[in-house]
Amino acid sequence: MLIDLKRCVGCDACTMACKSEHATPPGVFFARVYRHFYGKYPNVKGFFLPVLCNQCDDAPCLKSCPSGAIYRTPEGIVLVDEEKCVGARACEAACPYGHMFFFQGDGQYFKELGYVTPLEELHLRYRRANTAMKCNFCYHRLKEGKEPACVVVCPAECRIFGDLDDPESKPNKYLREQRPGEQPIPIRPEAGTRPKVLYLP
Amino acid sequence: MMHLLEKIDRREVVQDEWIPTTCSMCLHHCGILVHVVNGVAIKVEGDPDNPDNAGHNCARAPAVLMRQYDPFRVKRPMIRTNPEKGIGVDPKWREISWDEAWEIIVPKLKKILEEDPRKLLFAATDFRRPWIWAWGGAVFGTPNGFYSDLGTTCGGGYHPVNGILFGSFATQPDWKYVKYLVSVGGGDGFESHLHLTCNIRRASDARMRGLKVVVVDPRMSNAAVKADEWIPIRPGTSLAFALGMINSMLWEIRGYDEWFLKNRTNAPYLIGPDGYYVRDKETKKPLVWDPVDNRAKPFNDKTVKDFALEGVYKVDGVEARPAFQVIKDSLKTYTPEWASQITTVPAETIRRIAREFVANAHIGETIEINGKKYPYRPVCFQWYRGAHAHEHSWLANLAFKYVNMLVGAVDTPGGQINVPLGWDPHIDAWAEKRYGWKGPAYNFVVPNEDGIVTPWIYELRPPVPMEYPPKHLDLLEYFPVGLEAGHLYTDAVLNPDYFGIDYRPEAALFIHANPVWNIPASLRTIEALKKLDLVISVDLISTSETTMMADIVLPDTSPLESWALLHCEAPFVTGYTLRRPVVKPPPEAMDATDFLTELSARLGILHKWNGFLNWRYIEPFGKPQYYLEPNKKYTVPEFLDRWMKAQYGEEMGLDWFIKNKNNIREMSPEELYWPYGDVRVQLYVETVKKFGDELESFFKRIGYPKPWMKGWTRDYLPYPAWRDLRIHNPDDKSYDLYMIYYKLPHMTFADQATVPWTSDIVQSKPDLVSALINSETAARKGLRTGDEVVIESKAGSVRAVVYVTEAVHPDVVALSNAGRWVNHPWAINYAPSSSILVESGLDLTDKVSGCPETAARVRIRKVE
Repeated sequence: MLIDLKRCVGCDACTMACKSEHATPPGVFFARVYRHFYGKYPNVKGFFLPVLCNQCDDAPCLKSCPSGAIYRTPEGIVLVDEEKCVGARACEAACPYGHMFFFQGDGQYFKELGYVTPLEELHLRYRRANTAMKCNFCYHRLKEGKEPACVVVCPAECRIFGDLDDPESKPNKYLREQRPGEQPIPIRPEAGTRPKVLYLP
Repeated sequence: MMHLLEKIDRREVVQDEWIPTTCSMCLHHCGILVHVVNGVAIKVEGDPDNPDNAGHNCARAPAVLMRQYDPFRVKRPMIRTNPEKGIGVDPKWREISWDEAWEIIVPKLKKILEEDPRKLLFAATDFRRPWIWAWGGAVFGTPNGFYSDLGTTCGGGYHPVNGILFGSFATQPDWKYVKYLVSVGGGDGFESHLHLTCNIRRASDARMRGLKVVVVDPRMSNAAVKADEWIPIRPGTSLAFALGMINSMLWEIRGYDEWFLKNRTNAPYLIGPDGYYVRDKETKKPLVWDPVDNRAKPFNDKTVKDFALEGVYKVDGVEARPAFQVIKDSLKTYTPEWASQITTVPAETIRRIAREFVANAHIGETIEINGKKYPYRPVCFQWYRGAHAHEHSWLANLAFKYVNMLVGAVDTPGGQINVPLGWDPHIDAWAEKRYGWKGPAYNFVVPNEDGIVTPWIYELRPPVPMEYPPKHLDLLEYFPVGLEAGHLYTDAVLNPDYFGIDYRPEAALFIHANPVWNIPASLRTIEALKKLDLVISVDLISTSETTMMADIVLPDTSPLESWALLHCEAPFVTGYTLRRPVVKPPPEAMDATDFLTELSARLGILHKWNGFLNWRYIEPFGKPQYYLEPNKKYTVPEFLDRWMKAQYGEEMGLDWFIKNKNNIREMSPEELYWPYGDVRVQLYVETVKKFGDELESFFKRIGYPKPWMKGWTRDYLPYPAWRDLRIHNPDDKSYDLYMIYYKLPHMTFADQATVPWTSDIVQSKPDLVSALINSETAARKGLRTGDEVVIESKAGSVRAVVYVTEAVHPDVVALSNAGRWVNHPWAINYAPSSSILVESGLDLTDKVSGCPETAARVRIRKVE
């Protein structure tokens, strides 16, 4: 995935799309947008940084998993097999980006009222407690030929999705046509995980 | 983790479909697809077949899902059993049947209807169902039909200025061509206002193309983060900033579009010493000065060789100046240095922005689009609520409009595009008749005898004669060019004698309205509601600040359960989009339209309701076969079907829209760019001066029975001027800071601030739910991030958590619109609700537009 930060306006449409696509529990945001300000008034600058699992080529979460529950699909997407996950939570510590989450069970938003919305009920019925959870590039959507929820939603059209190795893919075409000569970069390259989410500053 | 749809037992799946409908989570109606599985709506996505939002949606659209299934959803009529009302007081609702509900509502409303309809306060400015807005006035007959309007979030004086000058309702930069944008106190294209989803895309495209953005705002907004330059400014002084720019453009740079001013505005019309047009004795037409023939001629005289913009001339023994000269003279003292003192923006910055604006305007250049030439003016001064919603709203809006008009950057490629309200079939019928245009996207532009666009003032309400005592609680009798100053109802209910009101309101009917939250001075609004015998609220969620003050609550249908054809303030596209039910409503929920139909029938005024719907929606097209029969109850889809068939023809009824989703299309350049023909707009707004003079004579005639009538017409000026605001000169200097509030891109209506997903996202960013204070100010007051404080104004006080930042003006405490104070687990109760702090009252209201002051003077103290 290529994210053109110049286009992003920090509106959190991706955060919300992700939340609703996966019905994630309170406080869990597979996709989210960081905001940061720097400088001294009145010479202040700011930026927005939308993040999600980087689907690293050299994924520390995968390497850290004691039960072999984390695996990579042929397309390069890093997934958690809930059936194999034993809830060791090593992956959470291993991910340098904070993109691994732990599902303790329940996960509904009106827990204190003892109420589950029908929407959450549908999702939670099939979710295994005490397992790791993470962004899966909306693997279920990719299988249907759709793009991830955070990509299609983006009002700024700042996310470009496709095979980075294919010169004719959308991201590579975008780079050639919209940002010629510019090199997309990952977040924290020094972590050495070879992220597959790249940014154009 | 696998997705539900990968794991679900397919044998259990009886429904799995994406149903097209229309989003109603803000005012502007994007096309959406709703994924419904076994009767449960689980996902919302933008509809790629809607050319406006083009398959995208914003953070608000999916929130409809959790609002739909909110545990506080009103499912049956409920009656209050706790007579005490107030913040934090549990109404102790008891569910009742609809029969019981009617038995309470109908006798009371019938009594009011028969005795004095004015005693009902009505508020239903629900953008999901525009046809219900006027029920209170047009059907029930109360003059008090807009108690929730012009609150702390609305366009206030912005709509009248667009209406008076351009026959439009709103505006938008022409994102396709604009090169230089000054965005003041608004979020167009970045975080708020018109068609956010659609305009974010257009604005991002424009920035990639090289658009330069300058943001003027006391807070570093999301727009400012993305801008090339952020100019922090003291609240309520954007008018001074604009005047400084205009002064520099007129007197220093001499940077204005002479052709535009001479041929498209009344700038050359000669103004006499009385401030009115000097007219030709014979033809009665306004005169202009032809500098070639060196004499005055009627403006439309074919022999006019040129129009003088400047100079002083003698015409029929009277000294006359072109309007432009009058304006120029009147604005002479507003130098950038003067503006700097008021705004805290350096004079050189104001001057530089003026220079850049003029330089980028390409005055004199044209652009060819589809073989036709247009003036190319790729600059736009765009503003909204934060800049203009103050006590001087008319003057501010006019000054802002001037910046664009001076360089001819209006309704031309790259400039500011005027946008219609969009759902008025009267306009559609008129546009079709006049120009053969089908569709709702045309401003209400009719040239008058002076060659000027006839001011379109009565966009939301009929004209009201000046009379005393006033019938309207918001004194609409004395706002001849304003919208509805609905926030004044509160003061009028509490102080009827002060207003000269000679009756006592007894009941209120609210439909998806929350005046307690969205008009100034929440605590006073609560007191006003307590004075009424019966407060009825038709609502989705019972935890609304206003519904909690109601005596009876009635269950409405949600946007996912109801029908509508919508089209609201759409720039660049035209057409209607269909909202239709995608899930079943709770069995006892009743769409508010159906509720009003049933209520009208029970009150014996169904013929008036159907008569209104006919008049506004069906009759303009002159096809009697579609008129509603006077005494028949129609469902919403039946009404929509007749409306659309009347508007578009027999084959384009509701079935057509069910099949095709929308008839939205991109507007052509001919439709977008100066579609008005050979007509002028008012630069010198004689209309407003005239109304002001009429009003003044009226007050004089009746002998100024109320003290506030003296000085009321001061700001009815034909050109802008600076006014100090009350917030700039507080009586009590201990209120040393300005409270401003800003809109988040995550929410529009109050009830979205209890949607758990929305609240969860917003709360994950502490600055958005805290009181933003500049580091210097914080240091002076010994405050740190995380400190609990009390923020006090004369209207009330709120608790807040401090967030120290560089990204806000040092004179300011900035609050977001996330703050609620309802008993809902996802209401962000610790985020302060700004409406509690904003003072209300006549002296804080713009006497021209009716706009309330929306900032407040506050002081802040630490909770030890």
